[in-house]
Amino acid sequence: MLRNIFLKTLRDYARAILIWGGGIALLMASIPPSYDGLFVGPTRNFQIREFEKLTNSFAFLLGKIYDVDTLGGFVTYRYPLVFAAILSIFGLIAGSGLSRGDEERGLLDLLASTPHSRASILLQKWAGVVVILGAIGVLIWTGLMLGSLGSKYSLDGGAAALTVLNIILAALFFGTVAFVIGQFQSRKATMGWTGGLLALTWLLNSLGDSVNALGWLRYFSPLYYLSANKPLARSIGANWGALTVLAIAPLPLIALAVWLYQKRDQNDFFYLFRRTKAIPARLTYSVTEPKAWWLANPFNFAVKSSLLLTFLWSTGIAAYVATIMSVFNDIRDNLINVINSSDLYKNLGGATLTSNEAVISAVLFIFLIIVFAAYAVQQITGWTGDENEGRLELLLSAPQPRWKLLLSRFAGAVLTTGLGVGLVGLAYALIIILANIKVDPARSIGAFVGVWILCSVVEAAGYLIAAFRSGLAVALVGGLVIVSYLLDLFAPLFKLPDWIVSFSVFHQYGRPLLDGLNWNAQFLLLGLSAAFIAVAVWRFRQRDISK
Amino acid sequence: MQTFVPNPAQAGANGPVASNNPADFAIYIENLSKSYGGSRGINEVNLRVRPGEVFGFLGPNGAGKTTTIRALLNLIAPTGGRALVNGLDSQRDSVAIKKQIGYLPGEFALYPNLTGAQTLEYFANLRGKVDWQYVNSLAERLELDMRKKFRQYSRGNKQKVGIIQALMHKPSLLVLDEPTSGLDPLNQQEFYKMVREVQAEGRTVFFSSHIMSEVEKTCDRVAIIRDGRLVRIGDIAELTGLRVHNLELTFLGSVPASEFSALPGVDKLEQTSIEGHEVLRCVVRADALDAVVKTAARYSIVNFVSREPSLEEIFLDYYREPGQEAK
Repeated sequence: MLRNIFLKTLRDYARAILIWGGGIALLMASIPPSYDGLFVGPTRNFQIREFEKLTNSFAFLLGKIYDVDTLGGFVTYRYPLVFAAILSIFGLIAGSGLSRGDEERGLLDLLASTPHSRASILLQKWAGVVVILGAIGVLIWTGLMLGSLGSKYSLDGGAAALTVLNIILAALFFGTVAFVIGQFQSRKATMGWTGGLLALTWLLNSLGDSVNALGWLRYFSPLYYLSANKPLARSIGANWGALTVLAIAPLPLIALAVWLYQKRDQNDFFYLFRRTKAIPARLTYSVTEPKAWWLANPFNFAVKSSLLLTFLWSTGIAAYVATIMSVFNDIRDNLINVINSSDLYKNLGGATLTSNEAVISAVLFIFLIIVFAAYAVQQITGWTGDENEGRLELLLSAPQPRWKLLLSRFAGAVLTTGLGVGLVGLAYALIIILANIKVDPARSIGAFVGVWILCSVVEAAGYLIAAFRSGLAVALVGGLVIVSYLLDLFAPLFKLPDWIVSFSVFHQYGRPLLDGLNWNAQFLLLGLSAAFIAVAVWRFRQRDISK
Repeated sequence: MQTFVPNPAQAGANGPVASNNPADFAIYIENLSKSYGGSRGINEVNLRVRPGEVFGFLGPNGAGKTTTIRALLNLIAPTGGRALVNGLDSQRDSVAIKKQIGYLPGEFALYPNLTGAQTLEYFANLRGKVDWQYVNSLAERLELDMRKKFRQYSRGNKQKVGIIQALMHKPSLLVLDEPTSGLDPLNQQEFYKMVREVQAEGRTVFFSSHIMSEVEKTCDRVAIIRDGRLVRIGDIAELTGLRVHNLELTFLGSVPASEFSALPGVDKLEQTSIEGHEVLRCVVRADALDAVVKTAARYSIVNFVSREPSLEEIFLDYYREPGQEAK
C-alpha cells in the first residue's frame, strides 16, 4: 500500500472507509426490516396514501415520495438524499484534506520533490477519493442487501447498486469541488465554502422541486440529478441521462483543479488578481505594532477566527429563511390542508396545523436546527485544530492557565454562534414584518434562543471529547448529532420509547414555535453544557499535550 | 569510556556547589521520570542549572531531551519526580513559571494566515508587556520580514518567528529545543550573539542541540541524555580535560596484552600483528597515560601514535549504545 500516492491515499483512509461505510451500511441494513412493520393490516393501502400525503408536504425539504408501497420506493424516500448529503460532507472533508490539508502539513512539498508531475500527484489523490467512495458504496450496498434478506419484501440488487452509485457520484462531486476550491483557499476555508455550496445546492433543489416559479433553479444543483434518478422506485426508474451528468460533472472540475495546481506556486494560492507591490528603496524589517482588537486575548482571537465562518453559514441560512418565508403565503394553505387531512400524521403525534407557527415550525425549523448543529460541529474544529496542527504547544507556553484558554475559546465559539443565530433571527424577523406574516414574537424569539442553546450543547460536547482525544472530537460529535437528529426525526415512525428519544438534543429542543420553549429542558441542556465544560476543563488541565 | 553516574550535587554549578536549595537554581530537576508504557520516556533524570549559565542538553534522537523540556513546561505530566524553575514547581506553579520562561519547541506550528507581526503581537498579548521596539530590533537582526504570512515563510524564517517570540519578553530563562535548526550560518552567528547577550544580562539559557561546535562555543555546561537517562553532566572545560587518547603502539616483538588491559583507565584494547610487528590499539584516559607509557617502555617499541578525540567523538561515544562500536 506504500507503492504509490494512490495506494497510500487508500491506506490513509482505510479506517474512514470502515467507519463511514460501516455506519451508513448499518443504518441502511435497518431500513428493510423497519419497513416490514410500518404499513400492516387491512388498512395498509390507506396508511400508505396517508404517509404519501404527509411526506409530500415536506417535499421542499426531502423531495417527493414515490411508490412507497414497495420496499424500493420506501428506500428511495429520503434516504438517498440524506445519505448523499452525509457522504458529500465526507467527500468534501477528504477532498479539502487531500488537496490543501496535505499542503499545509508540508506533505505536498515532499511529494512534489519525487519524480511525479503535479498532475499525477493530484490525480492519484483524486483517484484515491473515487476508490474510497466506491468502497464505501460497496459497504452501503452490502448493508442494504443484507437488510433486505431479513425482510419479507425483496429488493432488486442491480437497482440498489445504481441507487448507491447515485449517492457516491454526488459525494464525489462535492469532494472534487473541494479539490478546486482548495487551490484558492486554506483547508478550513475550503471545507466552509464547499459545505456552503452543498447547503445551497440542497436549497436550490428543494425549492425548485416545491415552488413551481423556482423550478429552473434545480438545474444548477447536482442534487437535482441525484433526485431525478430513482432506480428503486418503479414509476420513475433509472434516469441514465441524470446519472451520466452526475458521473461526468467531476471530470471538468478535476481537470480545472489540476490546471490551477499547475499554474500556482506550491504553498500558495491561485490568485485571480494579484496585486503588485512596490519594492522599497531600502529593505527594512521594522513594522508598526499591529494593535488589533482580535489579537488582544484568546477570547477575541476565537471570535475573530470564527467570524468569517459564522458569516458564511448564517447568511446562507438567512437566505434560505428569506426564500421560504417569501413564498410562505403561497404554500401555507396547501400545507395545512394536506397535513391536517392526514390521519397518520395525527397518529404519529403531530399536532393539528392551524397556525402560522405550526407551519413555520414544520417547514423551517426542522431544517434550521440540523444546519446550525452542523455549524456548531464545525466550530469545534477551531479548538481541536490548535492541538492537532501543533499550535497548542506554543500557546500553552504563554502564562495562561489552561482552564482560561479553554474557557476563552469556548466562550468565543458560543458568542459567535449566538451572533450567527441572531443574524438569522433578524432576517426571519425582517421578512415576517415585510411579508406581514402573523407569528407569536415571544415564541419566535424562544425558538432562536433554543437553537443557540442546542448549538452550545453540541460545542460543549465537542470540547469535552477534545479534552480526552482531540483527534476524535469532530468525528464523534458529528456522528452523535446525526444519530440524535435521526432519533428525533424517526422516533414517531419507529415508535421508539420516550426514554430513548429523550436522549436526543433535538427532542429536548422540541417545537418551540408551536408549544413554546420548554425552559425546563433548556435549563437542563444548559446545565449539561456547564457539566461538559467543567469535565473538559478538569481533564484538559491535567492531560499531556500532544506534539 | 568510563561509566559515569551523574551526581546532582556536582551538577549544580561549574565549581563547588554553594547550595542544595532548589530555589537557588534556575532549573532543578529531581528524579524526573515520564513513562509512555514502552521504552520511550525518561527515567529518574537529575539536573540542576545555575542562574546565568548557558546549559546544553545533548542526546541522540529519541533519547528524552524533548520529553524533559516538555515536562519542565508542564506540557506533559511526569510520572515521577519533580521539576522546578526558579524554585517554582513545574506542575503546581506552571503559570508563574511561564511568566519567567521563553520557550521555543523543536517542532511547532502557528496560524498560517497571520503575518509574522500579528503572530508576535498575539503572543506578546498572551505574555504581557512586550517592548515592540525590541521585537523590531530582533527582526532586523535576524532579517525577518514580519509582513509576510506565516504560511509564506521558509522553514528558517518560521524558526526566526519562534526565536523572536521566545526572546521578545526578555524572560529570565530561555528554554530552546534545537534553536538553530533551519537557520543559515549568518543567522546562526547572530543567534549565538543573542545568547551571549542574554547571558551577559544574567539570564539563563537551557537548550538542546545536535551541533557540537555550537555547544562548545556557547555552553558553559552540558548534560548528555541517552535512552531516557542522564549519562554525563559537566562543564565543557571538564569534559575536554577528561579527554582520552587513542593510542597505537607498534612493538618489535610480541607483548602480553594482559599487562596493558590490567592497567586502570585503559579501554577497548585490540591486538593485531602487521608485517611481523605486534600492534596494540587502545583508548587511554589522560590520567592513565603515564602508566601505559611506562609499561610500553619495557618492550622494544618501534612506533608510538597518540591522537586526542574531538569533542564530537567524546559525545558520540556517550551517544552510542553500550557495546556499539564506532563506525
